[in-house]
Amino acid sequence: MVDIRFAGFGGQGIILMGIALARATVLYDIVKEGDTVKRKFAAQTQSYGPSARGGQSRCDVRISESEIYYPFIDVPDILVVMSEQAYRKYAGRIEKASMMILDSDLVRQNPSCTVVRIPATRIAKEQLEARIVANMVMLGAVQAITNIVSWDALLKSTLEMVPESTHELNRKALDKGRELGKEAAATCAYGG
Amino acid sequence: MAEDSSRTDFMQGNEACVEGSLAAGVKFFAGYPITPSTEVAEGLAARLPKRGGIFLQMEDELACISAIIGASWAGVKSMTATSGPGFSLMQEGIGYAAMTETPIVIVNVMRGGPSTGQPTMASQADLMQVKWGSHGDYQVIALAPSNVQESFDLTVDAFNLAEKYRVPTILLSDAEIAHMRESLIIPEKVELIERKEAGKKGEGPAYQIPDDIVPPFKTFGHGHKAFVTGMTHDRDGFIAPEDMTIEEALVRRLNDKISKNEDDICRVEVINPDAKKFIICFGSAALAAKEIAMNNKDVGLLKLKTVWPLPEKKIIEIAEAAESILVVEMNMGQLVREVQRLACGVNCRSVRFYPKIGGDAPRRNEIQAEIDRMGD
Repeated sequence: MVDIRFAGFGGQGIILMGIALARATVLYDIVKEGDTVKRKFAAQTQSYGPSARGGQSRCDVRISESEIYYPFIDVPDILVVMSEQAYRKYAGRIEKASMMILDSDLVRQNPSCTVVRIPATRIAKEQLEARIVANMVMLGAVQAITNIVSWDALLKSTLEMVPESTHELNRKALDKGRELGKEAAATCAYGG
Repeated sequence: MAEDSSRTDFMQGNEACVEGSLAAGVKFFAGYPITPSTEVAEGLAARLPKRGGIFLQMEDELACISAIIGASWAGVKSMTATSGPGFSLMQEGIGYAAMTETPIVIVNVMRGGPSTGQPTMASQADLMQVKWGSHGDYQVIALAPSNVQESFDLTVDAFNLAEKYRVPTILLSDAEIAHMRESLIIPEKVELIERKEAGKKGEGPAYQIPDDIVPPFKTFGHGHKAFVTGMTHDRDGFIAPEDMTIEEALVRRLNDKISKNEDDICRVEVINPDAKKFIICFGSAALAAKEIAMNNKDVGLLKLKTVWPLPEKKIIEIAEAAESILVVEMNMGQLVREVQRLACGVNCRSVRFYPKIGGDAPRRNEIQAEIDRMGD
């Protein structure tokens, strides 16, 4: 069982990150044994306020080889945070997380666990000229760092969830994140 | 997991409800958007017209319930979806549907209340409203899913039971179940029950129920004189508001057709049936409870999938065998009083109660702490 939490503010696409990941593991990270298809299980829950933008947003994903009865996360193995406020709300009391992946420009915290910093929002804005895909940069990085989902599965799942006119931009963002994630992973000791 | 002709997908409870309603053959949906039920309307707005069905966004929830009652009398399976504030507005129509024996499905995705309350957070505080919300002596059927697969399966069941017993049937979901995502297996085919129609000789399960329990349905435009009235009426539909014999027979039948078919209508899940400590719950309160029972054979779980009519026989059976019972629900005490009433009759020693208020489903550690206190 792997528990991963995404947190940020409303409008960043935090929940989409979790759905794309969970969906990818269930639908596309499959093993075919003769006529039977062996699938992983995933459960995704979320917390958000009634407003469309602003406020804090959280998305939890559990991934397991066996059926999941309980979708909630007590202490995440991996915590991905994209805003300072979300860090305070969702991360402050869970320093036990094995690893945190933080947006380096938006979260200025120094937790005691393994930390990987990814400049997702800055890269999205400066290199892709679209801050809206910061979440996709981050998601690509999460894949490269943790390997909890295969690259092909994540790419397929994500592109199915976004409008076709944005496929190129989203693919570029995921690619860029993957690149950043590989570089960062090389310098950090996370064993998965 | 064997996958023959079924299809695996990954979606939220509300989306599974949409799939379930389409599999059951819904042809008419009238709704008014409200969090946390909106994805049901959204999904059907996109899908239903492509299948020859009709989607209407109404001006309010009173109009929604009236529209689906009308559609049902025109002979199609109809549904609406709402949450507490809208469900309150629908009560008059629900009573009318019960009195006129109109098969309809109402999805109520519970959120925190009272009043506007918490649009994005869950509760189970509408449990009694589902049963007693409209005036008069009547019964409805209510099914409560506690995961995404059940959101599909119980939506299909809701249509089947509504058709079979000619009764408004409620899918009682909540914000947690409605918005959580899991894998869903959509079978290629589901078993369907169609209502018994006047003048037709059918073979389906609905035709096996005697006409004096569930009368045949007289669809508008199908050649029978269809009288539909919320006033006390005789078997042909003519009003008889001052006839005490007719009122008594009608009220008794409206109630008996549901309560005397408990075995057919009630669905439960039992884990560790021989345990001495038992948790009784439904919906999202069952998530943590099931996790605990699956990992500890000394803790039993009775998860109600049918909440109305209450699975009384099953609760009594558990209360007779268990030494103590813990009722977990997200309200100030609605199911627990029913369980106390039944447990009292069989001398069950202890019925404890864990109410979870605030918007989050009960967590594993909270229920475990209650279990640890049981039997003290």
